[in-house]
Amino acid sequence: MDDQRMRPDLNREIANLARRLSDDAMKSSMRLLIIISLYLNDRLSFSDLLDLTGLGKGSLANHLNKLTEKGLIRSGFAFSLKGPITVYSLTEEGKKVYTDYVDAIIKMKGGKN
Amino acid sequence: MNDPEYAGKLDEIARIAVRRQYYILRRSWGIYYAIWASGFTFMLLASMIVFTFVSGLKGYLILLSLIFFIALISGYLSRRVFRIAVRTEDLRRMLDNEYLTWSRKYTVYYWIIFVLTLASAALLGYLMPRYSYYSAVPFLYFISYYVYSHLRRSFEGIPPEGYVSVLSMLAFAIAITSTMFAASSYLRGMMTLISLTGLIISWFWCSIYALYHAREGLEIG
Repeated sequence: MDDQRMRPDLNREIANLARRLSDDAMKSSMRLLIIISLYLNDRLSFSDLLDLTGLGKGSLANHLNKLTEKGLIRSGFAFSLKGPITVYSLTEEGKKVYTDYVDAIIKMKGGKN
Repeated sequence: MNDPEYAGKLDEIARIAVRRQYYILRRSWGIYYAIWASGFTFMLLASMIVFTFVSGLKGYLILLSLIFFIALISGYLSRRVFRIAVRTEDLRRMLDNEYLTWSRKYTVYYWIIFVLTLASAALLGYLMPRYSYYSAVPFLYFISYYVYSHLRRSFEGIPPEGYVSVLSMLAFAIAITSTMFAASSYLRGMMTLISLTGLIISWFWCSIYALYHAREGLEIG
C-alpha cells in the first residue's frame, strides 16, 4: 500500500474515531469493549456483559445507560431457562461506531487487510 | 495522542474483546452440541416409532421428512454459534493483519469441499439407485469438516470437546459408509443404531464438558 496515498485517509479515520471516542458516551475503553462484544455476539445479557467486562453491577449499568442515552445500544427482553432476562444489542448507530473502529484499525495497520 | 500510541490502544481493546470471546464461544458450542445431540436422539426415536407402525416406502418417506424437519429446527436453533465464530475470527485476523489472505484461502477450501460433496452424493445416487438415501453420506463428512473449520475460527487452540465432537462425527460417517457393504439389512440397521447412539452420547458429553469449562475463558483475558 502506498503510504503517502494512505495517510490522508488514515488521518480522516483517526479524526472520525477520535471524535466519537472523545464523545462523552465513548470516552471509556470499557464502553468500546462493550460495543465490540455486542457486535461480535449480536446480543448479550446483563450477566454476560458483567462476565465479559469484569465490572461491578453499578458500574456496568452506568456504562450501559450512557450508551443507551447516546442511541448506540438498545435493551430488550429474551426468554432463557432462568426466565425472562434483559438483553442488549447495538443500534444502527452503534454498528457504525464498530465499523469506523475496524476501518481505523485496518488503516493504522497499513491497509493490508 | 500520536498515531502509534492511539493505534496501540485501539488494538489492545479489540484484543481483550477477542480473548474474552473464548467464554461466549465455548458456551455457545456447548449449547450447539446439546441441540444437535437432542436432534439426533429425536431422529433415532422417530425411526423406531415410525417403523413400528409403518413399513416399506411409506415408512421411509415419513422418516426422511421427520429427519429433515428435526435437522431444520436444530440448524435454526444452533445457527448463532457460526455467526459469532465468523465475526470473532474476522476481527482476530484483522488484528493480525492477515484478513484477506486467510479469507480467500478459507473460501477456496470451502467451495472445493462443497463441490466434491455434491459430486460424491450424485455419484452414489447414480451407482446405488435402490439405496438413494446413501447420497446423504458425503454430507456427514462435510458436516465434520464444517464443524472443524468453525472450531478453528472460534478458538486459537481447539478445546478437547471440539476434537471429540469432530472425531465422533467422522467415526459416525465412516460407520454409515461401511454399512453400504453390509450383507443384510438387519446388520445395516444395527450398525446405524450403535454408531448413532455413540454419536449422541459423545455430543452430550461434549456439551456438558464445554458448558462446565466455559468460564475458564474469563481467567485468560
